[in-house]
Amino acid sequence: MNKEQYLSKLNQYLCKLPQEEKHDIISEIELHFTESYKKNRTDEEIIQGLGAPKKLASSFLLEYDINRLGPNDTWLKHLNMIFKMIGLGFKNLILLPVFFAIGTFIFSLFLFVFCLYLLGGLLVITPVVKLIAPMLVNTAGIPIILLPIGGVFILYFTRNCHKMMNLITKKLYTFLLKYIKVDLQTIQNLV
Amino acid sequence: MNTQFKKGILDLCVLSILHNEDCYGYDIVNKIMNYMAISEGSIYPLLRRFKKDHLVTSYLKESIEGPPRKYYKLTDEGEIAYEKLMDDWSAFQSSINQLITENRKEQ
Repeated sequence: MNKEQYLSKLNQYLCKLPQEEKHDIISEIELHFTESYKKNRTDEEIIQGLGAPKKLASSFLLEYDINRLGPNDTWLKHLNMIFKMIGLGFKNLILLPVFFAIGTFIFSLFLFVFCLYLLGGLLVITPVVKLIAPMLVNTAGIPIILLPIGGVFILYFTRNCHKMMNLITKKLYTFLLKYIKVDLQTIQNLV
Repeated sequence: MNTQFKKGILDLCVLSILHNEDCYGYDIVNKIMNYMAISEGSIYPLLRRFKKDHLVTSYLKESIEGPPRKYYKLTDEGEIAYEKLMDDWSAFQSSINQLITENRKEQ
């Protein structure tokens, strides 16, 4: 990696910062290169001394920690933070019932899958039941052989639905965890 | 005891250097490197933080050898922070030394 590549990567990783700050940082690091050249250091040496561009960028981002309140911050910034926290509270007030509703819906889908399993299973064992206790079975004109076949199809179909449900639920769960983490992080940063 | 001490050590070094005289970034890096191995990149974020917390100010000074250099200078607040960190460091040093000597005696 040469100086230009390093600086451009650094620029990339600093994209979260306002233009002026980013520019300031990049020019200071560029100065570091310039001074190093006077001592006849190569780009490689300089870059090794500075560390990986991503790491350097993150150490800048850490120090700059935009959301953290400091004692020197204006009262306006404090007010801003308070509003952000209130906003967070309201957002969750609305979103949590929505999450809950989705959860309930997912649960009912699982119940439905369970019922389908039951149905499939019953259809499959129908011929057996017909042999043991013919009074219990009323096929309503449908040839007895079709029922277990239908049952197998239903079971196969249900199994796939079940697998898909599991996948969706897992994804939703991961998303929910990430969401909670982000909110907790925001609160942590605000305070 | 200042529990943030590990983080503060570099702070102390930089403040101490600037207390002595105004320096430009690369110079500060080199001065510290004479005494300990650090990541050269760690100084610049630190200087930015100092500037944001009003502990230092910067100014450009023309240099014959090339582009103008960005010099850093301690503010009054910076001097106060320096004094406080020096006190913390002395207290920390003496506590640790005390602990070490006490434990040496027991043998």
